[in-house]
Amino acid sequence: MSSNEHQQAKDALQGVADAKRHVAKSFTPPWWHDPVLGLLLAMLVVHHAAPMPFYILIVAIGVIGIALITRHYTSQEIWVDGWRTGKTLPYTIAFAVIYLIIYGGNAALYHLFGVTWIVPVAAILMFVLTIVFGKVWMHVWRKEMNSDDA
Amino acid sequence: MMHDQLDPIIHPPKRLQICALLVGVTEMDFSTLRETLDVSDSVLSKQLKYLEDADYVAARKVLQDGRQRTWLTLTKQGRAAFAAHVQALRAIADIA
Repeated sequence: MSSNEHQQAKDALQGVADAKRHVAKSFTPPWWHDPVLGLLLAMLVVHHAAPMPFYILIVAIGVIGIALITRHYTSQEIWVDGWRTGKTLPYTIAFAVIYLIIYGGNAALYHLFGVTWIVPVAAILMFVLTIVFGKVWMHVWRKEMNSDDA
Repeated sequence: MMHDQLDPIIHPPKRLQICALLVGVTEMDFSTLRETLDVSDSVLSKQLKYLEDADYVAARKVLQDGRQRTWLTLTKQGRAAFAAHVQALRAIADIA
């Protein structure tokens, strides 16, 4: 194997690394995405405590809002699926599990044991967790893009 | 440089760059890819044709805001082929 081939392979790998770094730098979703998503998820987590017809209204706003924000997100020049295979996947799964625990937990505590304070606490927790998850997910994705792994 | 382990579809520099730009994302807009590569529409289309014919890249055309937009994605086969190609490049680069 000639040193020329060795150098060409190194140059090609450098090109790959540069391209991935460029994507990591270019992809910046709007700042308001995570707070709005957090608000919608918080609404869906505590909708069970609202009386009719607000119960249905909250669910409708939550579902339509998530559909709209997803549409906006996937219409960007570049977008990345939260469920993509890679180092970000365990974080997405963990977030989904935490969401279900908060959802089920606060509904059970409220309806079975009459713990009313759990509702605002669950809503605030969901809002904060969504923002934190968004930042952590993006950090892990950028780190993966900036690494030399294919 | 053309070794057996290297994928001839991915190997040309522009196509390798296309794969590298698409591998970390779900979809990228055609015009964003063109601007990033700093090539013309026709050059990019020609390179994408090779990748699409090999089922390495898939294009999704959508009419949005009165204009047609094309989103590109690296397919499962494309991701596997790209990973194998990069692995082969690493093997060559490591053997001085």
